[in-house]
Amino acid sequence: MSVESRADLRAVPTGWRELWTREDWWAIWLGLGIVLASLILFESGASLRWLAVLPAKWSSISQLGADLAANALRYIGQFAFWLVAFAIALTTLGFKAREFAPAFVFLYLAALVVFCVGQWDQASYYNLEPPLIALIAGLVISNLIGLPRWLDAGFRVEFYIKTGIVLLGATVPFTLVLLAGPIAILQASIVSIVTFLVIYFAGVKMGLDRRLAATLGAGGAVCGVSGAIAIAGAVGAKREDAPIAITAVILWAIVMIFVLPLASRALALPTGVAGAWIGTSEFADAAGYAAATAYGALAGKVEGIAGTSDQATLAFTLMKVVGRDVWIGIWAFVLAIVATTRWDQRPAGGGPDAGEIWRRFPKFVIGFVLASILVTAATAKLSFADFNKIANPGLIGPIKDLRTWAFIFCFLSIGLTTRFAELATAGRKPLGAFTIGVAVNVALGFALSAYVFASYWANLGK
Amino acid sequence: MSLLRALREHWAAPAGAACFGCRHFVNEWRAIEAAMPGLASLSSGHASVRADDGLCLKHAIYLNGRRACAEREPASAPPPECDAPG
Repeated sequence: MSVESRADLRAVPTGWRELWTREDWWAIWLGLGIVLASLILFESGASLRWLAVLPAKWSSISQLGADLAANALRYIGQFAFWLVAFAIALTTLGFKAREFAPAFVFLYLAALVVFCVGQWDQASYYNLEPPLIALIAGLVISNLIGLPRWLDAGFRVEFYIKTGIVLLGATVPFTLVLLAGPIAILQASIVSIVTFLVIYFAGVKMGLDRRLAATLGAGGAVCGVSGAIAIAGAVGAKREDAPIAITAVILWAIVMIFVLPLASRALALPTGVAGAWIGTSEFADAAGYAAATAYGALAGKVEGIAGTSDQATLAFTLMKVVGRDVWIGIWAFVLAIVATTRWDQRPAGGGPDAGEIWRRFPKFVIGFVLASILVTAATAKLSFADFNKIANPGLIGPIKDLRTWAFIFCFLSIGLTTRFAELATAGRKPLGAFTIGVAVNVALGFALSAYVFASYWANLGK
Repeated sequence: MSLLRALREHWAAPAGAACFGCRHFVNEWRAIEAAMPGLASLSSGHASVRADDGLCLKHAIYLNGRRACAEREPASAPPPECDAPG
């Protein structure tokens, strides 16, 4: 039966229901719930550490086996926690628990295997970075082996990455968000505007419809697939336009997950600089975190790469989330005005309203900021030495490790849901226009990250 | 205007002539993810950025459900036949 003929799929306005029908809000509830629980335990002298278990470094299979056996109860507890928390959210969003549960069992076990491989003491030597292993394993399984479609209920890329980003907020001092935000916004704005205009005018020059050109431009310039669908809706694009842009974004995003860390490594970029470059030139949050995390993991392991792993994810987050994602509502509002006043008229009328800016705002960013404020306020009274001695292991560390799990769930899910054969055919012209934008974006992003603002990003958070 | 009133207005359901409530307009996440291959790989039908967008099956466009249309038909009418992917 076609989706169009199902009466239960008729439209209803989101309104206040957004608070429980959008995954952005569920990421906030879950992420802030973990942060608050961690804060309460920390204040009472306890810690969330028991739940935030990860495999230890190992050099032999017997050592790994012993570590897993010793912590078996903790893994079972953590699995149960994630299963229940995600199930509550996803069933409320409309997924079936009987489909989510087996999918999540598979996802959790796969994530555990990925962690185990990543903790091998020879992993760096063989470039076995967990984000890249997760992505490749997912792609191989979904494209060469194949899984039942209903298992997708447990492979919710965006929900996992948004939850991870909220948790990431707890590990970022709010002062850093305030200090670094303006630089990130400046750099991201330069690259976003240039990239959008390049893709848009290249597309129009090639004869593409203006709405398709704008949809492609937003996909390359603002926030990938999310940017493309937001602009497609705002300008009233043809039904086939968004799928074309989605294909272009996915293809280039996956290429860039591998190319940007490899290029950064070849150029021995400091982790902060590479994170900023990835934040400017990757096309989707989830894909960008995979690239930034993979490169950050090389810090201290590969000679010549300065900085810390945190600097890579921090710079990426500031650039992508603060610098690019939060402006999608304004892009949509402005382009909706242009579309309704300057371009050919669509059958549907009615003008855009400024409420669009809020309605399209990626709400999970609120969770990121709130988590940052909460933890910064709670630890403000600690000296630097006490912060490192007490707060880092007891409060920040467990949140960071739970965040890492959420990210690995996401990276696996990207691969498991990306079925190349099912993507819409993008066509030469749309792909060509997008590719021109990619070339300009990567070059400009590199110049700004590695030269213009290099010292800033290299010393981020110091 | 109070903040609460402003938020209420932003989140309020659109006027009667909007695409919401039209039998040709679909914005439920399953329908959107089915119609847009790859959407769930790097985004989602549940994303906030999607706001109230949906598919107009009559004009084959993807648009904001708060827009209005002279060809609007009440949702109580029988659903249209369509050859879209299912």
